[in-house]
Amino acid sequence: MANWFNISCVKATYLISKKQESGLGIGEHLQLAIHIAICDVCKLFKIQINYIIKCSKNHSQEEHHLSNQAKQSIKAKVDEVIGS
Amino acid sequence: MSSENKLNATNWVDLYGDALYAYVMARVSNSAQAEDIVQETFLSAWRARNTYNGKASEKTWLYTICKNKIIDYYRKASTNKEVLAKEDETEEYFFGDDGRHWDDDKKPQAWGIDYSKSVESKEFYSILKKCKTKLKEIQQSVFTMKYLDDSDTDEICETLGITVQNYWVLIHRAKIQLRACLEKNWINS
Repeated sequence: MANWFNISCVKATYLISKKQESGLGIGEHLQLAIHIAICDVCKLFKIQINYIIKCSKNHSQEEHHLSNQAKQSIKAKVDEVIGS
Repeated sequence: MSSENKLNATNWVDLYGDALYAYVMARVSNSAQAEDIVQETFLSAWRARNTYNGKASEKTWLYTICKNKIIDYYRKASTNKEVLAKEDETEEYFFGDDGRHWDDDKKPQAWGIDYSKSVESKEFYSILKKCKTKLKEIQQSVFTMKYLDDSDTDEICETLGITVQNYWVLIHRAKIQLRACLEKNWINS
């Protein structure tokens, strides 16, 4: 029983990720809560991962432009297919 | 008037080339691949011109085709998934010493930022993008589908032909690596 409560950081970080994706079962939830209460590193991991996900969702599209060379090449290909 | 007459493919590249390219670049790892996808979008659109019914705008229609091309790309990138899941060494790298706990020099460090506020700097997003390109392709695909395109897990698993357990492991490894990469290049730079 003692081992059941005592999960590794490997398992804890996996459960942190899984919680973000699908939620946890009650046993997993308990295991993670106990681990986070005693492990500052995994607690920090959890905060930072949540932060990264929050920011990823606000992702602003970067500016990108096709190079002139790429544009000419795509145009040539499109013209070829239109003409055929 | 036939539907063909509503489309003018000769100026597609000038009108939509850059916008589609930026859209694709946010989702795939390299520019050559992105250029190919843009080109394929136009060619497929032209070949399927008879199916265009004019209800959606030309632009919307092209985006729909482009999204499908990106999904095809993800699908191709996931064909090595069995091998990738087994050969990945993420856990060994970060939890090396005893295989249970964080390595001292790889464990998360305090960032000294306010985690309640979203970051607004362009720098963060360009570093995030660079960090994503360092991931394995299938890890990039699941992360992008989930957190950029907001697809649900079932949809992602179906598209890539992976199990949900596979998905949890892939996205978890993506997160571990992105966190470490951001810490190194954004916080500590």
